[in-house]
Amino acid sequence: MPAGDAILGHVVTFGRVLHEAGLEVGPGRVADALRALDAVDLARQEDVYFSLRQTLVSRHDELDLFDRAFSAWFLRAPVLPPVRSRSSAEVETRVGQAVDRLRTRETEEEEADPGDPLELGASGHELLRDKDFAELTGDELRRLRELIARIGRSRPQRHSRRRTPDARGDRLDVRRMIRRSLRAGGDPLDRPLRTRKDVPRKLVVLCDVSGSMDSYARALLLFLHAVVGTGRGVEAFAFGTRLSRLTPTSRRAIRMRRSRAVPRRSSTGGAGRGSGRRSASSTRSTAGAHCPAGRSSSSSPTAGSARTRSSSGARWRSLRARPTRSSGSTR
Amino acid sequence: MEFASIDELEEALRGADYLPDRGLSTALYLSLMLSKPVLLEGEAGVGKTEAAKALATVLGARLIRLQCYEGLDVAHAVYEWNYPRQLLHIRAAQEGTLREEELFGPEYLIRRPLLEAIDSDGPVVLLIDEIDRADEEFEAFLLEVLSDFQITIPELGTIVARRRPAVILTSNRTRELHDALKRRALFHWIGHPSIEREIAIVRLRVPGIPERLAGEAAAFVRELRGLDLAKPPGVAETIDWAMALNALGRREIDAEVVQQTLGSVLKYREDIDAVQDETLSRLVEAARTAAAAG
Repeated sequence: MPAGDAILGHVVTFGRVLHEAGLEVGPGRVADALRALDAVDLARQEDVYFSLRQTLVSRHDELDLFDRAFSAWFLRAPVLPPVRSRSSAEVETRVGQAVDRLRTRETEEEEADPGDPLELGASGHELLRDKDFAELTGDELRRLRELIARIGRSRPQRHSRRRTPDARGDRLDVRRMIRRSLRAGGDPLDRPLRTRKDVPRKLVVLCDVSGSMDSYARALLLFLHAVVGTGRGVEAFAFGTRLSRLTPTSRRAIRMRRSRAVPRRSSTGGAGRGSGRRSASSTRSTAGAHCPAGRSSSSSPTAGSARTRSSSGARWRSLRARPTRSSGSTR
Repeated sequence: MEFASIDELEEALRGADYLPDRGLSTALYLSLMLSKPVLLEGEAGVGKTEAAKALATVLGARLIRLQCYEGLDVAHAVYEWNYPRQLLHIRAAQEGTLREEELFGPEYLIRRPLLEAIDSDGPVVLLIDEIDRADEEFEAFLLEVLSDFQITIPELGTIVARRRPAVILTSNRTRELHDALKRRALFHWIGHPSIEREIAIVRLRVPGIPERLAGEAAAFVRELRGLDLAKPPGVAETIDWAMALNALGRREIDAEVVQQTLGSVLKYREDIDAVQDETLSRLVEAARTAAAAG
């Protein structure tokens, strides 16, 4: 076999090793690799390595896999035992399998099954994704709070009907143009533009904190709290036997937390599970600064109904009397 | 200027005060040989932009830089009509007759970096810096430009590159670029240099720096990179810091001077807070030991 054909065969097969190990290597890249090898000194291993790497790899996280495949295929090095993470162990296995398969195929000319897509180790987030709220430990709840806050922050956006001045806008701002043209004797030298701005969509969140949802109430309320923290246009309600509006409480809690007016309490000290069992009057004194969940307790079925009704009325009146309410809520 | 081999290019880059590793030299050489753009990725401050500048120097080419940012559009990247000038021309010609072609001639065109690079007669190195900061729409447009090396201006027609510029794209990897763009480019990841190369870079860039100080500064920065920092320092920070230490007349580092000049190396308050007291003393000691041994 001529030397050129041997190199061609090697590179094409190596491309398939990488492809089976999960890299996006197609004929175009292999052709680039061959052109690159034409331009460098094949006697220098380093140059061959970089030529192949720069043409066949396009992502940083594929470099490790490429290195292993290169060692295994070109240097015939044994596939090393895993040393770092679980994901690198699996990469190792995938490369090993791909090399073995291709080598076998080369010698015996037999067809092998195409490899499974590259699998990576499950992250902690992935574990939390499927876990029952009721089974969460304290540490998991803390991580859950961060994840939930992230979901809460990604409120959907919509195009506002109003337009604002924007240098890269799509509409001519005729009024401003004419006003400015007066400075230049009537010549419209400036062309100010306007564009429609994106604003967060309005949201109404209804949260079931009744007795049957006892175990989940805490996670739901964390979400509710996170959404309220994203700004205006959110109304939050919790319901057990009746509906309670939580928006002002939650906003106040966020403001207080931000200003650090009150010392932080541990995250396990909030309402959560216990909230349904407390009475409205007892929770009113503790709720607010830490978590709005305390307020929700008044709407839970276990709270005394007569007492709840009267205390609820008092609370509404007291909320109305507070000056912060008008700025905190949006109707 | 043509280069016959990677070694020749590497030598020329060294002559331009840039010390590339073999991988980067190979990437730049292949980019010239295959007429393909090269995408340089790596942490901030590892010398991606400097590589483009050095390449322009050794090629005797003009460096045209397009700094990307969020919201970068065609008007700022390719061309824009000089509207006020057109307007003034209309005013001046109010008495006579004026043809539309006169208003849309090359003299009324504001040429932005991409058009400048494509419509250039001389050799050009086009540096598209921090492409990850631009929007995906611009990335798609760039894809088109980098495939055909031509730009169409409706009023003037299509401008085709008479000679293809050497194109270097850099990315700090704040987001993953589109596969289609990556397919058209060679990919090279620039990591932090080895300690020996970093010392050599510092000595090259900070003339007159004592050898021991260069060694200790490089070793200390290397120790810093081993910590879990928000922004590990790159070579650019090592050079800045070494310059600062040299300007202070130091011949070696100690905990006190490191404490005073830490702002040259670490750019986040959290990082500076994390490297204090015992940690700082430990790192300084480790760096001094490593430099003495090396």
